[in-house]
Formats: sequence, C-alpha cells, structure tokens
Amino acid sequence: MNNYNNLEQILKDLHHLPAATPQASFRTNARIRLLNLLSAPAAAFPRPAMAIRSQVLRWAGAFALAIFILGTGAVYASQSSLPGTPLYPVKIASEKVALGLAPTGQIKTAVATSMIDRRADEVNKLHQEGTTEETRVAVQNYTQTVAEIKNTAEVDLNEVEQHLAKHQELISEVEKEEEHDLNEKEDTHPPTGTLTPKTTPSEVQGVTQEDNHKNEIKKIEIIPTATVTPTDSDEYQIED
Amino acid sequence: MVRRNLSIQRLIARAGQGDAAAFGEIYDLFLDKVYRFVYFRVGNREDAEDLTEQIFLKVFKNLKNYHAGGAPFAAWLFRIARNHLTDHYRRRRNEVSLTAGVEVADSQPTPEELIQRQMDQQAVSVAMRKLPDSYQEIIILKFIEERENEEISQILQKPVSHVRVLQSRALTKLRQLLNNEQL
Repeated sequence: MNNYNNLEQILKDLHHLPAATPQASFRTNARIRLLNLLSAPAAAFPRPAMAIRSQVLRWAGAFALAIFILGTGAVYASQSSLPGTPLYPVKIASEKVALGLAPTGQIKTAVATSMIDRRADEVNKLHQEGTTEETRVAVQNYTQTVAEIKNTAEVDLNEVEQHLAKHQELISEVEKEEEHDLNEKEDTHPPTGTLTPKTTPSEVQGVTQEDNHKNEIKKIEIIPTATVTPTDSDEYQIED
Repeated sequence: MVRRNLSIQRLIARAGQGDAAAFGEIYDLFLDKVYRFVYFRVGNREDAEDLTEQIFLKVFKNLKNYHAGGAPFAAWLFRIARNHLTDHYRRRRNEVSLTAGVEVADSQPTPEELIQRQMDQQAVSVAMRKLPDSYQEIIILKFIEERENEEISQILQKPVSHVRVLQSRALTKLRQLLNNEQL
C-alpha cells in the first residue's frame, strides 16, 4: 500500500507530464490565430483597446486619404446610396480606392468581404422596396463585385466564400422572384403593346354606368419602362 | 533576472500599443506555464487548449489595465487565467469529468517503477481535481509549477502566511483523499 509519503515528488514530476505540455501543432496554430486576430480590424473586438493595432491604423489612414482625395462630403453622403442614385458611383469608387490601398492579408480580405456584404445589402433593400429594375441591377453589381474580388490578389478566398454562402439564399431568392415577375409581366401584357387597367371600373366607388362603359373600351397605351443600365465598373476606376 | 524583467516590461509596453509581434513573444514565454496551469485544472487536452487560447486573447485585451509598478506580469497573467477558469467552471460545472485519464510522465524507469509511477500520477491527478478550487490552485502553483510563495500570494491575492497554511491543508487533504481511495 502506498502512503504517498513522496507526494511532493509525484506532484513535481507532473510538471513533466507530456500531456501537460502544449502540442507543437497547438502552439503554432494558436499563435497564428491569435496574431491574426490581434491584427484584424476593430470588428474582431466588440470594444477595442485604445491602442489601435498598427495595421488597422495604416488602413484607416489610407481610407481617410481616399476620402480626402475624393471629397469628404460626397463620399460620406454616398455610403448609404443605392444603385440608380447619383452618388452611387462615388460609393463604388471610394470602395475601390480603399481596397487598393488596404494592406495585404486579413485587412484586405476584410475590406473585400465588406464590399460583398454591401452589394448584398443593396440587393436586399431594393428587393424589399419592390423596385424590379434596380434590383436586377443590384444583383448584377453583386455578381460583378464578387468576380472582381475573386480576381484580387492576396484576398483570402475561403473567407470570401463564407460571405458568399451567407448571401446565397438571398441572391437566389431574389433572382427567382425577378424571373417570375418577368415571366408574369410577359404573360399579362398583350402582344399589341396595350395594357388593360388592373382595377375594373365597377370596383371604383361613384363611377357611373356610362363611365364604366367608357372604361371598358378604354385602352391604356404602354409607356416603356425606364431602363436602368447596368453599372459599368470601368466608369469608377480610379487612376493611379 | 532584472534584465529579463526589463525585457518583458518592454514587450508588454509594445504589445499594449497594439504590437502583435511583441504579444507573440509574450505568448511564447508564457504559453507552457499557462497551459500547464489550465491542464491540471481541466484534465484534458481539448479544453486546456481552448481555454489557454481564450486566456491569451483576454490578456491582450486587458494589457492596458496592467500596471508595471504593481504585481509581476506572471502573477497578473495567472490571475487572469484563474478568473477565466472560474468563469468556465461556473458555465460548465456539471460537464467536468472528475475521472478523466491522464497521460504519464516518462523518464526511463524500470518497467515496475514505470507502472507504479503511472498509477501514482494517475491517482494524484484524479484526486487533485476532487479538491476545492483554492487547494487545486495552490498545489499546481506551489508543487507543480514550483512558484515562490510571494508570487502565489500575488496571484491569489492572499497574504503569504495564508498561502503557507493553504499549502499545508491542501497537501493533507490530497493525501487523505488518496489514502481513502486505496481503502
């Protein structure tokens, strides 16, 4: 029977227990994960420390410079603009400058993925507003931005794919609904280029029989819908 | 020793200003100690790794609160580790296995000695985690980590005299547990 008289020695020996030493893989991987996280933008920390990490500072400086060059007021005002509005090209241009000036690695990836998120947000907003043509343009912008980012060197494509997966459902749903709306429009529109009114005259209160008769025979001429041309990315290209 | 402390203070200052590379060096210096402290409290690698990583992140986020003139950095760091473990146990009190197996240290003994040593280390590790938290902490810091009473008193924020009493009581209790297990 062991009385554990050597208990202190046994405890001392536990110091050298193999399992009590971090494995090499953990040592390296945890170090990489931690340092990446510490170098990431403030988003990684809900309440970042006052001392801002140097890479973030560089990125913020570059972005501030871009804002200054492009005209402070316009760029700020453009950040919430949607496709089809006058300030939208300014928004796209400021993003491209920010992406171009961002340091490589996680910061560049963060800027790139935020661009994808913004395009998806635009699709969502316009879709909710029910603006069919603009929504279609927003979806095209989304696809174009994704393609551009995938071609950007030094962006973490795995991270990009994660963001794409997040928006996949929204984009598919919008595309499906847009297609459905388009088909419906083609079905309901007479080929003669005329459109019958949706509300029948009898549904309108205070309309006389005579008015009804007039309305029945009345045809409304189709007014071609204004087409919003897809955004040409080259238009926003900033010269070095 | 003084030179080492100065260099650690410099690293802390740089890391406090957001220098990730400086924090990487702090991580290299203290990883083993923190990991060991956590491992003997939780008894398995997976949890020890997760918690250790979380502790270092917490350390970085709190570096601005560390005052160079106060407790030594190691004591401050262990205090964060200790608090993090307390929070962890609060969240998962019922999930912690007290009978988790423990790998055994090997330093070329005879087969008989090895078996006996394995049995002793296994028994001690398991019994240790049945002790109250304060006894576990003192045993790990004093006997496994071999830290000075002065430093332990700063980590536990208790007087040195109290630390000595705790050590003695923790050892006695551990020995009792081990002997009872044999009955």
